[in-house]
Amino acid sequence: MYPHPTILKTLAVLGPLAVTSAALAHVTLETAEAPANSSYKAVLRVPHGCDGQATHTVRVQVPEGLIAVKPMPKPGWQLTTVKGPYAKTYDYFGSKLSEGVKEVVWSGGELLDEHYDEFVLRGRLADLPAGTVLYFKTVQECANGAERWIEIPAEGQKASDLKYPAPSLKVIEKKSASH
Amino acid sequence: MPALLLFLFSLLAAAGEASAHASLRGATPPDGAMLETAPATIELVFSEPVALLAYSLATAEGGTVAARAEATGDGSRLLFFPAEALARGSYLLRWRVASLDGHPVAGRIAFSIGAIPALAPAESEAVPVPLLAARALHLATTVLGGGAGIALLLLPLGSASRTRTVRLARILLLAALPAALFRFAATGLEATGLPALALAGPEPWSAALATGVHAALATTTAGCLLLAISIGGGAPPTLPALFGLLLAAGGFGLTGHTATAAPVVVFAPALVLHLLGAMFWLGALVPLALALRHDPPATARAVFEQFSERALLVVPTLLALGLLLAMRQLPDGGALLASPWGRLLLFKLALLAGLLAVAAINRLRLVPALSAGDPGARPALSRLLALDLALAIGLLAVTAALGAAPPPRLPHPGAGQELRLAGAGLAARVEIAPARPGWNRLAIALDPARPPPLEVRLRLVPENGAGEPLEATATAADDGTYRTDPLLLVPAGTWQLAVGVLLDPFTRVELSGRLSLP
Repeated sequence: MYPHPTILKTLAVLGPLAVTSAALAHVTLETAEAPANSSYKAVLRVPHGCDGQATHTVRVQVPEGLIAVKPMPKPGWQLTTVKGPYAKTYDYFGSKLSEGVKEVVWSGGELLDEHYDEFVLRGRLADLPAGTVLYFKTVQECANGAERWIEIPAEGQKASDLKYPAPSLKVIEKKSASH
Repeated sequence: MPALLLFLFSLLAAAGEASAHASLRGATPPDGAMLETAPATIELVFSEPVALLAYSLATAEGGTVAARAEATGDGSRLLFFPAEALARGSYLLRWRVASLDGHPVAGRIAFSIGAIPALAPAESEAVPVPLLAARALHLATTVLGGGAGIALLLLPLGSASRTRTVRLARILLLAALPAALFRFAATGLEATGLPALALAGPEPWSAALATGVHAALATTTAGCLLLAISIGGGAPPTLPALFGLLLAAGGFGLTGHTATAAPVVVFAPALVLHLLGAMFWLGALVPLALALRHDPPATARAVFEQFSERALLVVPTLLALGLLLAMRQLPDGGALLASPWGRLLLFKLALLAGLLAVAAINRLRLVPALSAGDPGARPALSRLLALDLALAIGLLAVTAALGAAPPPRLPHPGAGQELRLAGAGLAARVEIAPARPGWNRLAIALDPARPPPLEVRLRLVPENGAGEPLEATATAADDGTYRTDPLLLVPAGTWQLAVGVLLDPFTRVELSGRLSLP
């Protein structure tokens, strides 16, 4: 009555295992760990569109603690930034920095569902304690809606428990002799 | 060993990377559709090939419909064939599939053949005119007809007025039969929201039966008929007549928010006694006028004196019972002005004050004048009785409206259930109407001081195992609330409700709660 490859049903049984792997289909950061007080190049990997539709806009919220952000332009995409005050004043190579880019928007492009692309921005990680996790909330906008990678795990939750986890960066111990 | 594990993991990971979970791309008929004719098949289209794990097709009432399923094309389209043609009504298809990555995905679609029934807009508090007219007609014929019966039993009417009162009582009591039928039909139409032409079909009638009003209507109608048969000209009070009277009034004790207020053992008898008192008082007005006009002066005098004496006992009891019944429906004094029901009650009290004023003039001035043989007393009494009768009919109409409108102690039928959700600095009030299994509308009110959200989404999951979630988007309405299209909430029981409010592109606050559908 129901002709379908049995492999799918086998996979269904393996479902709980496979769920972990589904995380790879999410929007993620290429480098998920970086030392405090260092330059960080955030490469956002966008593996598919929204529900089959092409992505025309990618919107990223710069997390507090990543300062002096400069996004990388992309051919075929319009680049805009939203600037605003930081929560506190940061030391940036001896000078004080209290405001900067808070949001980066690549718009007017076309990333088909069957294609893959990367969106890049660079900044400096402040002198944050090791173990801090920064979340790069990202929104993929398509003709008929959006995919919002904006979920942050609650206490006791893992990112893999979430349907739309925000790409995350874990801050590790700063290198002893920097520069 | 770790290398092997890593290899296995990467294999699984690769499988996952091939695609995300399957999602429903579309359905025919689409979710929430209202169809003219029954579809032969139901089609679901997914974003990728899926394996169907489980499905069920059910009616809104919870019955199961046999259906066969088939995958077509590359497996991304599923076709469902109901075993027999679907009748008018609402249907729910629940499905659970495995996507390519093995992740199970579940969902539901609902559609309706014919109009979605009984979905009154939440803001509608007005009782439809036909139902109001039916209730008023039924109450007036029963009370005035029964009252004429009481007058025959209790007052020493002369033969001229007695014959006329019997005729009047019979006309009114027999008219109560079509009035009861009218009320039954109007109840069914109000429950289904269908136009009067739908009375040719079974829907309004079965909906009226479901309200349980038929037991009450049958009882009062049987009582009215029995009373109409057993009141003979000149005959003394008979047992069948008393029994008929008790049934005619007792039927009102079987239904409605007044009689069914807890404790029922107090309020149902209180209502029946209140009604019998009203019958005695209001129903006597026409027989009194008839006695005044047609009986010899001495007989009329005796009739008025008898009535006055008995009214002295009955009317205060009637008022005390009325006060008791009304106070049970009012949570506090403020509801008297704040609710439509309370304002109707004030109107009834105003009419009552008029009736009492007329009664006081009658009793203190005109009846003694009549007894003293004052020639001016008869026409004056006659005029006041006509005024009395007009006030009485108004009073009965307002009473019928009070019976139809929701009293303050009960939630409004349109408002259904209200939930208050809060979390992450956000509060929301969710109204579910009518909060019964079947089609429902949800309205979400957020703090008006906040900037409007970009999106309000809902997710509803029944707790009793049938885990297919229902997801919906609520759109902004003119009144500032966010409303959903009708949602088919089946089965009954407790549902988990999550409201996702997108405050800005990057911030979604999720509020959750539970709602129960009795």
